[in-house]
Amino acid sequence: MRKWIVSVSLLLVFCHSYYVRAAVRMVDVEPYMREVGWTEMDLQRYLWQYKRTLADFATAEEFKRWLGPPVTEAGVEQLLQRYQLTEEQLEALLGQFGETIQDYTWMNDLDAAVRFYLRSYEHMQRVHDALSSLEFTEDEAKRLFDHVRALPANGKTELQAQATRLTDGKSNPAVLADVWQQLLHTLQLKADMYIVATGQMQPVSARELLERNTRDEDVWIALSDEEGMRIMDLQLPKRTNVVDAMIETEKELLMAGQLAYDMKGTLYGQKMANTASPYVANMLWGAACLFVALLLFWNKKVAR
Amino acid sequence: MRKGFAWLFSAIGIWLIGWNGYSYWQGLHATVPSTVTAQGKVFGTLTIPKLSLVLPIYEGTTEAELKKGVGHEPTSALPGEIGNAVLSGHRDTVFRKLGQVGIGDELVVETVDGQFVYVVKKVRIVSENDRTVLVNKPRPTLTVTTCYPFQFIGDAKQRYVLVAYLTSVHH
Repeated sequence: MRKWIVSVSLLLVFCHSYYVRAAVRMVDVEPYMREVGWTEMDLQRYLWQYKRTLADFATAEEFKRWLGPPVTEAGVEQLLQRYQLTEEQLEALLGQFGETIQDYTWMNDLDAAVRFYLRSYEHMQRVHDALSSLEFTEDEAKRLFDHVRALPANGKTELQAQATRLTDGKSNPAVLADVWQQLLHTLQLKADMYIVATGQMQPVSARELLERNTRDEDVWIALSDEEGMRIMDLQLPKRTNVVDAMIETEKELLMAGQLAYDMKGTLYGQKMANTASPYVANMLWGAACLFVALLLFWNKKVAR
Repeated sequence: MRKGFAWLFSAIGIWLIGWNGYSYWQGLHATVPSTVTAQGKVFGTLTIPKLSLVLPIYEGTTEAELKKGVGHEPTSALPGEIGNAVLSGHRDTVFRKLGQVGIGDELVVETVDGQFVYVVKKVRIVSENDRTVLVNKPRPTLTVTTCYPFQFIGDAKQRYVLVAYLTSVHH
């Protein structure tokens, strides 16, 4: 029995010491890290991204294999061939996302980024093309995307259903009016419709509008969220058939809504927020007003 | 008549200085509310250890949010997620010292999901219309933007951008 205990203990000690010896230490990989210009901290942060530590590798060779080759001209050449890109195209692609080849140390990461950015670039192009065809301003699109972001996820299916109804029931005013209501309900928008004639704005409902066959006045539609914040304005073209104009408007809004659902949580190279506060400039205007007031008071005193 | 104008200008001047001075003071003293109210959409804090600064983060980047603290771009990723989480702030209030933050400095975002430590990898100065900042990223990234130059009064034509990578998470 005692022999057995001794044997098992020795085996455990041996396994433990083997395990301890097997783990790669910083000192083993330091020369290699120096070659690529990395500090111990850089390596630790990099490993953390992949939920790894040096202790997960048995040998320095295994660790190097996991890292893959560093970025070299030959490696970039192979990558260009794989994705059928020229060097200028690769630089332009990374540049679209604010990066350069020099931002990468390892070929594996550069490869993954190129794959990701090629997909993202296609997506961004689709969004920009759709927005230009809809003739929305960038601010309007941004407000709609921000608004839709907070809506329930099933909205896209509902919009698709309304799009089918619109195609099936074309030129039927009752269907068009109902699709309009459902569309607003799904997107949680309020629409204020006005007929603009000789400078006056007369409120009108979608149904009332669709009951007219032709018109000479402009129709202006203001879309706001349920708290009253303006999302966008739409204008129906003058002297066109009301039904056709409404079909066109509904189609546009359905397309924009579906696009907004696709855009949930993604960026598409939009403009950055205006982070210039107006306070200092406004205070200076305030000081200018006080100065003018002072001059007026002063002149009055002199006049007396 | 002249007296009337003088009083009118005085009133406008005092109102402009008073209201904007108060808004500016609010930004300068942006503090994290001790309790999160239903109206205040505070969803976290941004700590910049180098500046010994803790700022509240609000959802949205309109003037209403930027007046109170740092705004999170709603279409961007949430802190800690794979993708690009974008935070913006006024250059003359909450981010008036952001120019002192450089490569290798930490930015810590804390939300109900945990504490996310990012390290600045890149500092960029770009045009206000640059389309390469609010873009998707293949890894958890934090992008912090503000106007540039910092001393400019009015709408600056450039943006100061910090790009940071996630380096650790504490739940």
